Amino acid sequence: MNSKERFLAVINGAAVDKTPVFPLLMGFSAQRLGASYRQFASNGHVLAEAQLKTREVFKVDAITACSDAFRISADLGGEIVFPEDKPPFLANPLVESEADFKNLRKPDVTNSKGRMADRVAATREMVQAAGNECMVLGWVDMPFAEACSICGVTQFLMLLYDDPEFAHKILLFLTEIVIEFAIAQITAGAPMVGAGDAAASLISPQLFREFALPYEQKVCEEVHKAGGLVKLHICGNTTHLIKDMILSGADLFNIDHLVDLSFAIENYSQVKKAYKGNLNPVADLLQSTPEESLEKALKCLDMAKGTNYMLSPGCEVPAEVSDDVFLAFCKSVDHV
Amino acid sequence: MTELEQISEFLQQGRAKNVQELVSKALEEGISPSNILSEGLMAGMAIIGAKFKANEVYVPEVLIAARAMNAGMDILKPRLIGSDVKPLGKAVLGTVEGDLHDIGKNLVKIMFQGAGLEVIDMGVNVSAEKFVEKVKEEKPQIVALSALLTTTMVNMEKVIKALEREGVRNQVIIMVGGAPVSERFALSIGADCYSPDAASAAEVARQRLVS
Repeated sequence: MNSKERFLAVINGAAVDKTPVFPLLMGFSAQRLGASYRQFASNGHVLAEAQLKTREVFKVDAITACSDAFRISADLGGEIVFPEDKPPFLANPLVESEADFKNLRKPDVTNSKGRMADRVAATREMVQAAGNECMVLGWVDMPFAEACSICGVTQFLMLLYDDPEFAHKILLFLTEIVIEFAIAQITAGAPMVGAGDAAASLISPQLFREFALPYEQKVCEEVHKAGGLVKLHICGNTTHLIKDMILSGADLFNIDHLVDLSFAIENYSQVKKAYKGNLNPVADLLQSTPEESLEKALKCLDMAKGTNYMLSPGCEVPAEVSDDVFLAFCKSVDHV
Repeated sequence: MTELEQISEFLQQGRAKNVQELVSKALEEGISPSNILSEGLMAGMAIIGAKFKANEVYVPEVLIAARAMNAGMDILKPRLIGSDVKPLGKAVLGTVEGDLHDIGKNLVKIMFQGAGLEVIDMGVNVSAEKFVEKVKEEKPQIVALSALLTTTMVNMEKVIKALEREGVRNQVIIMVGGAPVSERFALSIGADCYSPDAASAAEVARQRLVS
């Protein structure tokens, strides 16, 4: 089986030759290419090259066109700051009032000068170079995460109580853009988009069901209609949201290290959904020896035996993780 | 329900205007500012802190409760000046250099204030030098450092070393926290305490200050 076949087999619940290895690599891949984070985030060609190099050296089964959460913010007119060695960020919130919101205009995802188009180009390049053997994912951030980006996390979380109607207006507006962005990457050849919704782990199940889930469902529905798949990635402790996350309709679920893996396995295997996780990127990779990292990976593989599982750390692999440790982690699947 | 219990209740519900009205009424009725603070406002925040730790409430509920507390404090503060009410201690708090994440830091600030600490919030992307400057100026008992990235958590050690160089390290309790941070990491850089979450951080700070 090649990587793509292996990956899709897990999604479909079919037999595999070995567990796919699917870490989220951003700064790690930039560093291995010798690129700064600024280059990685601002130039889709550099992003693609970095992901392809990581694939070549470490033989991971999937690569993702993800660098940061501010592509839509940029194309909405936000000022994005690009530090040399850290992810870019939005200098000032785009929406602090209804008046600010009324001034927003839906951006054109095909505008070649835009950051969304840059990611689409990166996706296309990755697909053209390796899409036959390797699983290539595009990336979007779900509407709730996008709303937190353009309003500020604290401000949007309070808006859920202060003015829920306005919060929904913002979410509806962003959902259209997220869908177009996702479909553009599917059209560029990516069979799947990763979809981050990090801030959703900060809210209760009740608020999740009202403000995050319906919009996740809409995005998944439209991506499916376009022939694509969705990986839902919510960083942090999502123990209280796991059952609701399944209702999003996503095809693959990321589990961060704070979630009990056996609890996640129980929930995902009940509904025969694919999931990945959940080594601690710091404790089990950055601060571990190759032997310790291997042992932890083998433990996860053993626990997940017989389910639709992919090996992964719970979130992004830090750039400072040594090659030795990362290789030990990646090769763990060959021991089983 | 007593008036002070009602203040606590409104605070927990994030009803800032109601908290302000009741605090004003309680003052008019002669209830002491220190009682309003401890049995109304701080009692309410303590309940929210415990519920947050137990995953009964989440970040939005803590934020609106904190806003309600601050609204009550706006009324109460002038009446506390010159009174016997003293903060439990003083903490300087910030996200370390290179890191712009503030939600964790803000939650710690809320919990610290709820526990009766005076908090000097230095914001985000704070250099080691600025922390040292602030320690010399404010003479806090606690310096609390936050980081959300593996690339920035290393700057926590820079702060500790800078405090050592300036001869003020032993004057403060250094607390660290944030998603990539662990007990093991905290010990390795010479921090005094690590807390996995904002509510625990407030408990640890209180314990350290009263012991």
